[in-house]
Amino acid sequence: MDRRDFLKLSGLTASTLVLGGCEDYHARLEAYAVRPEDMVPGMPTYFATACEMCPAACGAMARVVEGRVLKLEGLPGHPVNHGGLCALGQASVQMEYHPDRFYGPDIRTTRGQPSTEYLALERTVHEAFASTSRPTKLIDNMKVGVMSFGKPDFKLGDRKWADAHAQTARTWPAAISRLARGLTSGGAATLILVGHQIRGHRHALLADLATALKAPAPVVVEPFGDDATRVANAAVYGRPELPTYDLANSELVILFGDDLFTSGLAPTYYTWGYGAMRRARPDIRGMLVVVGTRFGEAAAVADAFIAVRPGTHGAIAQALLPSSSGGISLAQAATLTGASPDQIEELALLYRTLKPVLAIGGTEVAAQTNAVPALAAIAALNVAAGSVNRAGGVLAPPPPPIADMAPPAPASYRVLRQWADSMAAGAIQSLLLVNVDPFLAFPDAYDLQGAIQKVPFIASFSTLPDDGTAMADLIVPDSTFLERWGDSTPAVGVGAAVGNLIQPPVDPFFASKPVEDVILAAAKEAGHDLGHADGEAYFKAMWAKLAPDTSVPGTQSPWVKALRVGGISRSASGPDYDAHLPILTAPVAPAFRGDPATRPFHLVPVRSTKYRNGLGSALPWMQEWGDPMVTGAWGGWVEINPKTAARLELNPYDEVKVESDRGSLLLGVVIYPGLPEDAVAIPLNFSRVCGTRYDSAAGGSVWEATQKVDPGRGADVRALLEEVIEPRSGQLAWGATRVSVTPTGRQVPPGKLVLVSKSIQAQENPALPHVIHREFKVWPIG
Amino acid sequence: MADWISDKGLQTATGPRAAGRRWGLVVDLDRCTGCGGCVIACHAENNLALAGPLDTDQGRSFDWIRIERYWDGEYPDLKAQFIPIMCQQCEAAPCEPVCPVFATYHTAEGLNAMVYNRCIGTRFCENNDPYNVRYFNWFEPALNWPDPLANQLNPAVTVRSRGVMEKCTFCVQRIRDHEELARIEGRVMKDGEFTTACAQSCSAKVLIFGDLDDPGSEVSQLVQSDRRFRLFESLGTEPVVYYLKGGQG
Amino acid sequence: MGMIVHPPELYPDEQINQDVLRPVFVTTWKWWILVAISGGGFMAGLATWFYMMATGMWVSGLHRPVMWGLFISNYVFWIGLSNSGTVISAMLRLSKADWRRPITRAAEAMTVFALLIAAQFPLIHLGRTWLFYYILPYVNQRQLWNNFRSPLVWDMMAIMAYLGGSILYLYLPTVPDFAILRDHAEGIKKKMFTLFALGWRGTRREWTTLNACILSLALLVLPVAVSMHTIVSWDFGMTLVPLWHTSIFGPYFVIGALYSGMALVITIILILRWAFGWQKYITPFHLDKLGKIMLVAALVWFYLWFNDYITAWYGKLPDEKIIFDIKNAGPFYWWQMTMMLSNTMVALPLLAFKKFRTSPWAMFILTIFINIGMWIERLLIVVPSLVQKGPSFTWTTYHPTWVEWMLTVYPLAGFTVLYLLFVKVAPLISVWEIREDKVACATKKMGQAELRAVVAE
Ligand SMILES: Nc1nc2c(c(=O)[nH]1)N[C@H]1C(S)=C(S)[C@@H](COP(=O)(O)OP(=O)(O)OC[C@H]3O[C@@H](n4cnc5c(=O)[nH]c(N)nc54)[C@H](O)[C@@H]3O)O[C@H]1N2
Ligand SMILES: Nc1nc2c(c(=O)[nH]1)N[C@H]1C(S)=C(S)[C@@H](COP(=O)(O)OP(=O)(O)OC[C@H]3O[C@@H](n4cnc5c(=O)[nH]c(N)nc54)[C@H](O)[C@@H]3O)O[C@H]1N2
Ligand code: SF4
Ligand code: SF4
Ligand code: SF4
Ligand code: SF4
Ligand code: SF4
Ligand SMILES: [Mo]
Repeated sequence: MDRRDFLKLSGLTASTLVLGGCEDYHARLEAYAVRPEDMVPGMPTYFATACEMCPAACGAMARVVEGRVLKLEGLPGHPVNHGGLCALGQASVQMEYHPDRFYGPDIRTTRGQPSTEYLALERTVHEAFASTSRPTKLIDNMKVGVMSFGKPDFKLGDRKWADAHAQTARTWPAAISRLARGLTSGGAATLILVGHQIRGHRHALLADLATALKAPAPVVVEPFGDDATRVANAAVYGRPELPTYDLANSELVILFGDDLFTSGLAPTYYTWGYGAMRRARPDIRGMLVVVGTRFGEAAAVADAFIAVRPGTHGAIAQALLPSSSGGISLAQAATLTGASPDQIEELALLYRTLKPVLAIGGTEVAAQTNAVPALAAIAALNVAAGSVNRAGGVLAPPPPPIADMAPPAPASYRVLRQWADSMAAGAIQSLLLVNVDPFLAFPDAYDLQGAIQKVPFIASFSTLPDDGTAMADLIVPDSTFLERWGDSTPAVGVGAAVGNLIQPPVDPFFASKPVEDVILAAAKEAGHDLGHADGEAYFKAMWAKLAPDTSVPGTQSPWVKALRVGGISRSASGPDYDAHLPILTAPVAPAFRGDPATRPFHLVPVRSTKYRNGLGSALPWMQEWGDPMVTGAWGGWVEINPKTAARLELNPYDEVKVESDRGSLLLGVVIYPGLPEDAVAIPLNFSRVCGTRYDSAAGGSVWEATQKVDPGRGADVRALLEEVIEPRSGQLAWGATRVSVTPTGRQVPPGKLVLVSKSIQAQENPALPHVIHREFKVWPIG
Repeated sequence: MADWISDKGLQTATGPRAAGRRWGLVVDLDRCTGCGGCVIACHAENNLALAGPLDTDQGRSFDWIRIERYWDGEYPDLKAQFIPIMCQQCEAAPCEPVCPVFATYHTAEGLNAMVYNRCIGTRFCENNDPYNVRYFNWFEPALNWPDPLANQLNPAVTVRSRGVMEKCTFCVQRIRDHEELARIEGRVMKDGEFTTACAQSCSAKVLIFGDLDDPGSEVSQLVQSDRRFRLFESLGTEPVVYYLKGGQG
Repeated sequence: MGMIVHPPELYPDEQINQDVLRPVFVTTWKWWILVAISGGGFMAGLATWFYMMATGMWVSGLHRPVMWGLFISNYVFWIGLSNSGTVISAMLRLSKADWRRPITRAAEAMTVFALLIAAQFPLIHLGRTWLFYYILPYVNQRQLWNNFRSPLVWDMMAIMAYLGGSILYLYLPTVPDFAILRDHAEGIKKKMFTLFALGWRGTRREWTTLNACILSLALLVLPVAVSMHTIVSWDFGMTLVPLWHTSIFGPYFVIGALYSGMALVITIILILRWAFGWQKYITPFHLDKLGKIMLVAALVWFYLWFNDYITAWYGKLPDEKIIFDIKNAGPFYWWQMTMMLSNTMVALPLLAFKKFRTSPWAMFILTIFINIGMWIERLLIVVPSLVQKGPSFTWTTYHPTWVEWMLTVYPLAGFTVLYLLFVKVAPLISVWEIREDKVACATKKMGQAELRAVVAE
């Protein structure tokens, strides 16, 4: 796509203005309708867009210098992130320039193996890189006074590079034809699996394709997601969608086992809400109480942490409820959960006295076989406290500004599994994987590989290699959200109707193409004209549905305005919830797989802020940065309570075999004070079998400078998980596995367990010189 | 060239400096969730190099701002605390006088500056830094951006070479940028018209950056708070990073 | 007490020339083997150094916050070793202790070589060694100056001053000996010694000037030595690092240097004694004297160490206590115990006995142990304070790599090479001073009377 094409856009030449509603931040936002001539070399240009790294849908500004996007920054005043941006959003530029990004489309003859044409292409591209003047010899840098190494990159105008680019681009027509044939052969037996980031009109277009093919609607893969929450919400609030949790105006927040701020479905929004809840109101400091098993980031910032046995959160919620609505006694709750009665009583007192109060049930609760009743009991706390439909409580999310942008409901694990079973049965002829790695959705206990092998044609639309692309016959490299058009709405309520417009601040870096362009072209070739020329035309048509804002005289079309400010947002509220207290029975006990005698530990799979859903592990910044609690980096570890470690005579860096009835993993030991003695925790998603050089299980060459041997990240925790399904929602209960831990008598190989801070590890490690039992107590902190 | 002793005198006795600005940062610990957005933002803004697994485990990774986590107690009566720590830009910076070549010195606007070109890598400054926020380039960082990852590098910031010390600069390139902008537009810089990369990325608004000598600035207001404290105050390093303590009160 | 006669016998000049000059002219296969071994070690060390320079300092075990490790420990250790040669010689010269004569040259040479070794470590540990000259106050276009407030700059200047002084102090008294060598040598060696001898003819004026120079140099070099060791201590003392920041480090470093330097002087003269059969020049009498000086140094060293230890212990300042505790526990405990054992618990009582002091083998073994102890002492100063300084989140450990160990052994090889080469260049016992002694012994002033004295003290 040529930059000059955009001159055609509404005839605008330069449109420079300060973002409305956030004058404080002095940055010029450019609509993507600026002539290159209007950009000053070396001067950054900001484009308003939105982050697509997760379903939170944060507003963002892309900083572009001379055609390269250098940094993503939060869009000031955006209702989701209020100007902030999370770590993964910050790391998104590493996806843009990822060394393992697909250079162009690849039609494969053998699954898992790049075609010879693609490999030749790869060589050409590498040669183009090599034609740049980066210092290759270390000695170069010993030259007196050499400081900044000559050049940071190749020039975009470089001929070799341009040739490589053109050569790659020429492979597209064949790829589109291949896809068209795949669509034809698939027909109604085509299955479209989409990732959780696919929302807005991107999802709508895929749905249109499915309709045209008479195939089933696209299936949104969100297996660890909110199925249980949705079922519970429907039962208590009357509607399933994920509500607005108005932390900012709350006086007491009770979090049941959730690391809402660091992962969660809208980390930035909740983090902003937390900050505001604490200190934005002059005389009120909201309180936070965490009820949970693992002491994580949320517990770290909480005023109180109430430790409960895995899967017993619901009992605490029920202890706070009046007995008329299914409440139980404090003593009963204490015996069920293992929490101290004093703490429960204190919480009950807070719950009664502070208003508004907000109870949030999170993933730790949702991970169990009793997820739905537990989450319902937690939601009931909001109803009983009168917090529904009120500021500081639970609010119904308003519908998005354009109706068909609404976030699609994800499929539950049970549904996903049915699709996988039909693949295994040979009922699926074509499989389209759009921005999704289906292997993340299944524990290794389910033979997804076997099922997928049965599908005759698989196309994967992805930017980076993953286990899904390894199965594909056709790789369709999607442009990143910094190179294409798109739109999105947040997955959870954020107190406003938000529609983000994603515009391409830069041209595609490699010869990638937006999914929309490819789908439209291939569908047309397969005889299904979906009615749009390309992605840009498509999104423009979709946004034309918006009625122009006539309240302010002289305003431009909604499209142009949205281009400038990154979309539209209206401070609307949805139709109020019609909430009612559910009828609660006695707390349902969670069920676990594995004999407690041989598998004495609960396995707590932790979603680390660093890795989140796998996307984090592919980006080197996210790998290297130490997890906030463990300070672990570059792969996985197993967290063990200090007393348990002492009992098993385990020291940090010792290697252990963690084994469930399904499989086993070798991992390095980390002493972690935030777990009960009968539980071990392992981060999720630090590796893939066929990932990039940064996250592949076997390891690639991570360091060029030091030429050291990369031990690889090792196999992911999915190897251990039992396939247990929460009966009421069909969600995978990934917290229901029991494991055993056996020391191997060795230490982990160097680089296999990486800890940025070793301070709490020292006391048990004789290799470290000293006892650091006295952690720093000098901080004058309350 | 700044003088250690008289710098101290400057800020305690004689008030504002010649440059008329004294940059400071306020860190409200009661808001920080340890999310790490600031850490990666600093990496992206300031061309921080990648160390790889072995060197990261060796304590050679770069985090100009890091989130320290402190434990207290035993499960279940456990407490933890996050503290973002970056260079405190000490007014009486102990790292400065020990540098034999003036590679690290104090600027008139109160920043502890690093001249990478001048640094010979004695690492004395880090020894004398009570906060351990200076990061040494043990290996050639430029080679740890495999192609085409180097395209993300910010041209406004030097890519350091092996053998030199580096540290948080309070995003000095942004300060210069906006000074220049204000100059071109013929106006005075406004408080909050720009901020550091870490402060910008923080959704919880933990970090507030501004001019301590401007009585109207947000930082000047915030440092009045009685929650205020500075790290290792007793050492007399006079940091300009002010923390607001968490918890009730 | 029975008097010890010094020197035990008076030898004819020819005999002295024979004994002392022989090593300069006669080269045995043993010398070649030693040169091969130590030269090999030296080259291997140099290669390691260049490897580190070319690859980066990640090949060492250093990391944040342990920015200084074995390199700086070695530096302080070798600086300390360099102390005693010149100092002992100057002290003895100034106090006109005649028994010094056979040992001064060997000791002065030791100082110069140990300094040359020591001075490499600040370079080795630089991240950008090739830019070391930035630390010099050289005139340059950009008007960049070095930072005179930095102890490293003082350090650099102190080393240069001491090195310069020591080289002069080694060279000047050798000039008459070079003249003797010139007169005995042939061919290329003659040319070399002619150059070194600076046309020395042995006139009365030359002798007066030489003596005056040596005396004033001796006077100058003593304060320079004291200040140098003090300044080295300030690399630590001037910082805010717990247990580095102490005022006792100045005298403590000076005395520690004297202690370990004395030990090395004794080790070296004993080796020379055995290697060249100089039993008649270097006698138990010398060992006894040097042993006594070392005993005093050991006592003062322990006294200052104890002062530092007990103040840290009583003070219990939180930051200091952390470091104090790690020195008394864990692996550092064993290091500390070894140091205490060899440097005080064993050395002090043994050195008190004359019988021990006069036994060459016993002294040889003890002095080696003392220096092992002193090396550990340097390590215990440098490393523990760094592993747990600052916020505890950043605390770590330190495990030196093969590169650092290699560069710890390399100085020994380098030192040996330098010494072996020196043997071929100058007599390790000052010929003219021994001869002068003969004369001095012949007529000695005792009170008012001129006596022929062969009995000293
Ligand atoms: N072990 C483990 N498994 C998990 C989870 C976990 O935390 N740990 N989380 C579970 C949950 S809740 C979910 S929702 C799923 C998420 O599973 P997925 O939706 O598969 O999540 P990701 O790994 O984030 O993204 C998949 C692929 O999308 C590609 N991609 C990234 N950006 C783009 C783009 O702009 N366009 C296109 N076409 N592709 C892009 C990436 O390269 C990546 O390979 O995983 C589930 N499985
Ligand atoms: N930037 C970014 N953010 C994301 C995503 C992304 O791709 N990128 N993905 C988003 C998606 S799709 C989702 S579904 C959300 C999920 O995000 P969250 O809903 O926050 O889920 P987790 O972080 O997996 O779980 C929270 C905590 O529950 C605890 N826990 C988990 N399982 C168990 C268990 O079995 N037993 C016990 N006792 N405790 C357990 C762990 O302590 C874990 O830290 O994250 C979203 N956030
Ligand atoms: S929360 Fe999600 S959308 Fe927002 S910045 Fe982070 S990754 Fe991007
Ligand atoms: S971005 Fe803000 S909330 Fe997150 S870790 Fe940094 S300071 Fe804390
Ligand atoms: S915090 Fe450390 S690096 Fe920063 S100015 Fe102070 S002493 Fe120097
Ligand atoms: S490492 Fe560089 S900045 Fe630090 S003291 Fe040495 S020369 Fe100065
Ligand atoms: S102020 Fe700038 S340089 Fe310093 S930590 Fe923050 S982002 Fe990094
Ligand atoms: Mo998810």
